[in-house]
Amino acid sequence: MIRIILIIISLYFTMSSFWVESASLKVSPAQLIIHNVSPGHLYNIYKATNIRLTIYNDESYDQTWKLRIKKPQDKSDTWEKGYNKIPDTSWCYFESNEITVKAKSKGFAHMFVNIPDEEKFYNQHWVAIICVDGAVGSGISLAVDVRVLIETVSKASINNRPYGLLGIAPSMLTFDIRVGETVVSDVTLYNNDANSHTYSIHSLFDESYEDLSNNRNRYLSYSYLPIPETDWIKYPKQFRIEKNQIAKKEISISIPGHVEQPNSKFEDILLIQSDQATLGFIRIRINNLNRGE
Amino acid sequence: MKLFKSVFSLAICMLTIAATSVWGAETATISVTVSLESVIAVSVEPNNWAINMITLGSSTEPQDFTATIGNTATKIEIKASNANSGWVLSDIPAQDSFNVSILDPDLDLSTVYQELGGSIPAYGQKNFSMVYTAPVSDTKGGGVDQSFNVTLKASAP
Repeated sequence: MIRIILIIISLYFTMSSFWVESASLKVSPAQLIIHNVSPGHLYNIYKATNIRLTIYNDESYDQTWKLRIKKPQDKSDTWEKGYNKIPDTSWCYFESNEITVKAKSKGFAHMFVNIPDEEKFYNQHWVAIICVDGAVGSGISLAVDVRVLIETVSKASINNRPYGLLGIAPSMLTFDIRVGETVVSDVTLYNNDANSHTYSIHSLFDESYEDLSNNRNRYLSYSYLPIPETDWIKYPKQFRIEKNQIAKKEISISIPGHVEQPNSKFEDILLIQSDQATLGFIRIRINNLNRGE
Repeated sequence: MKLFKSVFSLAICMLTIAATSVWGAETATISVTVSLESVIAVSVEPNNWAINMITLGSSTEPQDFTATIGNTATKIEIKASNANSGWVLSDIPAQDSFNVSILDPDLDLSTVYQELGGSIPAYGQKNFSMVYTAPVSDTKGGGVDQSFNVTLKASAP
């Protein structure tokens, strides 16, 4: 006897109790960088910066979305090179983990950031992912991931080793420099790994570095332009640091006689790679090219 | 003299508080840079899939779907869940194991996200067809809810 079982399966969109033809999810911003976060301080990001997550509901029915923060996954997620996974996702959270957005309306979610008050958490570049998705159930549902890049306060003078396989202090160099001048700064690199490594540095905006050609501008801070000529900045291209040792490296910047857009502010990102992976970067800011004129 | 001692003590106390705050966490003014692509969006049409009656071991006809994205290049990923009453999502249909496949790209859905479109241009679309294959045999019995969930996820590529 041929046994036949008839089954009936219907997938309906989970957010709706009635039959509808389409579903949509729209979230803004698509990505954000939070600069200059101090360990030991609780930030209400909306109060501090006026930025919050906006979820638009273009449908004619109410929709409920869940919000959570996760670490990116190596196999499935992509993110900006040089940012490392945030050590603990509980350091970022929303005032509510669920939001219901009325039909043809929009809702707002307010994020908080609270990095523990430990010196090792200065000079960090971290990535976390805000997941916006529907309730678990049966049906066809939608989700959006928003990457949050968190940069803690850059600090040159520290007493303890920075967190991570490669510590960088300071993590950002700001040069107030006039055309024709040369300025030099030091950066200390900490190999916190149990193995020695060879490191290399290169500029994200070097045209020969095509790996990130589509994503370079995502690193730039608000109001900064990419550095016009990457050879303004000199740095050691390759060096070795023994296990658990530190190395001080010199970074110098010279601005040539002629600069297009001399009133602009420029940024460069110096990516630091070990022989195994990209581990971090130094953010370079160049201000006031026409200072005193 | 008592008044002098009180004022002196108060001054020491205030100095101590001031010194403590100097050694506490430094509070900087944060700023936020939002991406130039300020909105990330995804929609799917239709947003339902009525599989209806199907015999064990057989497959549905392909059901067409269209995912549409917003004003920025977007990566679309897809995953499915196990069924509500014990059937398990699998690459190969088996006893109590069902399969959901996509024809282009050639994918067997799993419970972890897989790429449906790596970098779909702004305002672009991704058309795809899904096929459901029922388990070859069943131990859960008829008349139970074996529906499941399919999720489409959008993110910056």
